[in-house]
Amino acid sequence: MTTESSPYSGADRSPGLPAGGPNPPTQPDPAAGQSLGREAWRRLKQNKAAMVSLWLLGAITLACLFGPYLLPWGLAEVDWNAFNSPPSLTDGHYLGTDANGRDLLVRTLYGGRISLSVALIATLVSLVIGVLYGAISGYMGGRTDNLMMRFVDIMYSLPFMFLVILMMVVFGRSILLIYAAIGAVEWLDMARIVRGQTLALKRREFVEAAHALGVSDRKIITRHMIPNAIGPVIVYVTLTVPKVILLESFLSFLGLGVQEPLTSWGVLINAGTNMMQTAPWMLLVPSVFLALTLFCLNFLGDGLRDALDPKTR
Amino acid sequence: MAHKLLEIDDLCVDFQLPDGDVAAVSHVSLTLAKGETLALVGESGSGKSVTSTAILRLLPELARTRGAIRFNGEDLLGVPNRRMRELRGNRIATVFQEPMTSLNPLHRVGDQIKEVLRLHRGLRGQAARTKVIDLLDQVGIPDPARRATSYPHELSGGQRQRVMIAMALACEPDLLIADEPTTALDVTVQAQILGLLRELQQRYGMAILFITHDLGIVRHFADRVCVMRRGELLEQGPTAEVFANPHHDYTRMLIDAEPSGSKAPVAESSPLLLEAHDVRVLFAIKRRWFGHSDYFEAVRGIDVQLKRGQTLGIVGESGSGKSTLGRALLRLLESRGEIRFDDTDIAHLEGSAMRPMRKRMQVVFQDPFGSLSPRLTVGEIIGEGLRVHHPELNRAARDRRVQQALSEVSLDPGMRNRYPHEFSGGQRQRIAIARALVLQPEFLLLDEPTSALDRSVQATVIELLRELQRKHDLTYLFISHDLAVVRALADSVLVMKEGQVIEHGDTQALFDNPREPYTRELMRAAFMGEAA
Repeated sequence: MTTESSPYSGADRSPGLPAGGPNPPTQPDPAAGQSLGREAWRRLKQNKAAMVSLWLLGAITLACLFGPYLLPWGLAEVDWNAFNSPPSLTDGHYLGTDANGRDLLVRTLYGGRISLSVALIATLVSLVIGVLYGAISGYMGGRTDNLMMRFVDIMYSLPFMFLVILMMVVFGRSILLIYAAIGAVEWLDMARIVRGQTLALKRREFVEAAHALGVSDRKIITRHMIPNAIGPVIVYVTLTVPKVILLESFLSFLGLGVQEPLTSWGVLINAGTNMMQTAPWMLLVPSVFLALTLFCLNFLGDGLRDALDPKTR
Repeated sequence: MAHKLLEIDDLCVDFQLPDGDVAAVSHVSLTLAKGETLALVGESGSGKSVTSTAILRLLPELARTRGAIRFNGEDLLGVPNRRMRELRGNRIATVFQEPMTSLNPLHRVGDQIKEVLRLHRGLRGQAARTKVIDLLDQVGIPDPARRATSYPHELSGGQRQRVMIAMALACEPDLLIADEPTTALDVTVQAQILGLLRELQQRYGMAILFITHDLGIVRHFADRVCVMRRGELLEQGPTAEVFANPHHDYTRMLIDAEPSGSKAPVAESSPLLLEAHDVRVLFAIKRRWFGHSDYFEAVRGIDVQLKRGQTLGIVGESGSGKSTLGRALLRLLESRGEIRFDDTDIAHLEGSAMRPMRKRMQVVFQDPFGSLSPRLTVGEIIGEGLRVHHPELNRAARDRRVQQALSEVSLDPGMRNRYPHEFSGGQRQRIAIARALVLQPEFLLLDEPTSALDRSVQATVIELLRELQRKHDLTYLFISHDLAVVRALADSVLVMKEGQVIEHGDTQALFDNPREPYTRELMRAAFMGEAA
């Protein structure tokens, strides 16, 4: 990996390095028109850690989607012959059972559906709303910025639990509610981060040049602001996913999230913690799935950040 | 000179980068005697800063250094880190280019000087305080007792550089490494700082290793000069000798790179293109939700008249409002007053009504690194204006226009799918010019377009601008602090200071016979190299 990871102004002139040194890089065919997307994919493919992560994530997702149908046990099916049984290859409970005699692998895969979908949807919500909101606020500046950010402050100051309970009273209990509630708070941080980036970016001369060309504000935001703020955004997304998964388990623990017999990784880990002494597999199995997913996301995030930065090759 | 303070013997520095080693400095040998001033001259990437950093052993991890650097007979490349720390700031002191970033913004300047005294001299308390005030006094800071308790942001750029020098002098070093110490400063301040360095050198008898790209300073300031290019030492010798009789072509090219010639005047009958009357720009310092905000007036009622084909040069030091005026004329900033472009009143055009005018007036900025979006290809950057103003063009037609624009600025059109970071500073500035030209404007605002470039590159960009002006009958507003460039390019010149016009006149008349004392001072500072 090159040391030039930061995509911002300073990286152009890192001290001590020969400035006029190795400029013309290895561009295979300069005349061939390659889009940023295809270029980024080419660079991502060169990153081994990111590619392995991508495959693993795909495998975990597929397993969660289709795995339960291939296994002989149901989500809430109790095996009266196996309570608290450790992982074994002989009785068909490959990763053991829980205190109620339900197959842990099946439950973990079902739990993965909930956890991954919460992570995916809440992160997407935070990404779309947060990035747009932050970019608009930062770019417009002045009074607009002030008003938009004060609204964010108000949202911050609302107690999260209060918000969830309120929504539950109004809309009734449903899994969609968790998505909505988590998405509604997660975009706030993202908006702050993107706004900060935008404030720094809008003083750059290329934005002024775009302005002088007569480019509309909307285009400046989508073409110049957001693409240049993408590095920190991706890093933050990889931090948001674990946060969201844990937030969901917290809600479930309080009885506000998914309910038995449905489950999620967070719920399983929580249950496993109680049995840590006597049945460690009940903690280990969902934890390994969660940890693996988070590792993969981090590597993939790093890889994506580098791949989307034209400076790395 | 029998006693050599510093001897660099066959120094090589390689950077071990992922895609192979890059030689930053190769086989450089030089010596510096006590009390002598040696200038290390070169353009960016010549290895001059790497050489000086190697002396202090402050190169990044991935650098491999070979050869010998003897300081008072001691080989610095061999001594342990602890000994090196004793030398740094004590026997060998440094002054860097950027006075804002080399001082810690959270500490008072007096405390920062005290730290050096405590580390190397063990001075504390009252003794340290007295010494700090004495040092600040020596570097010519007024009211040093009070200034010692100031924070860096409360000082001007020149004063900050004086503080840096005071810090460097704290231990009365034998060797002062000055790495472009005046590059970030205005010309008049630059002259003062150089005078100060020279005076202090005589008082303390220290040697100065002066790193710069500016030959004007070298001629004035150094005893001997070393010319570097791409990590190699091309030529060294006494300053007067090298300037009078350069052995190497490159040295000769550097000396001759000063822009020459003058602008041919336009016909008397040429119509007025840009006319502005009583332009004022206010910046809000403190905005309040209710009541009046506090304002700072950056441009205070300036008139501008520019005929088609003319070039107006605006000169002034930083903070004079010259860039602000330029941006206001292009309606990139809100301003008061009248601005007429080709008989259209543009001062009050809003949003979409202004858009058709934008096509006719374009801008090229100073910073070739900051003015191109790093995430777009060069083709996309140049084509952006076409998307806005010529939505009827299809992809192929737009691509053709982009290629034309690139070849017009003498760049290979085949490079349009590359990203800005793959180009050098001069090439990027050409890209920025191509972006403006592709819309076929009539008026170009050039905001210090050559200031960030090396002298040799600067000359080619100036030549390009001249040629384009002739070819397309362009009208330029050329903003610069570099008087030599303005003299070569402009029909008339506007000297600005603190938002006001100090002097305005034809280039030739103004340079031959400046009326105002401020203009005279500017010129003396700018052309001191030539006068010597």
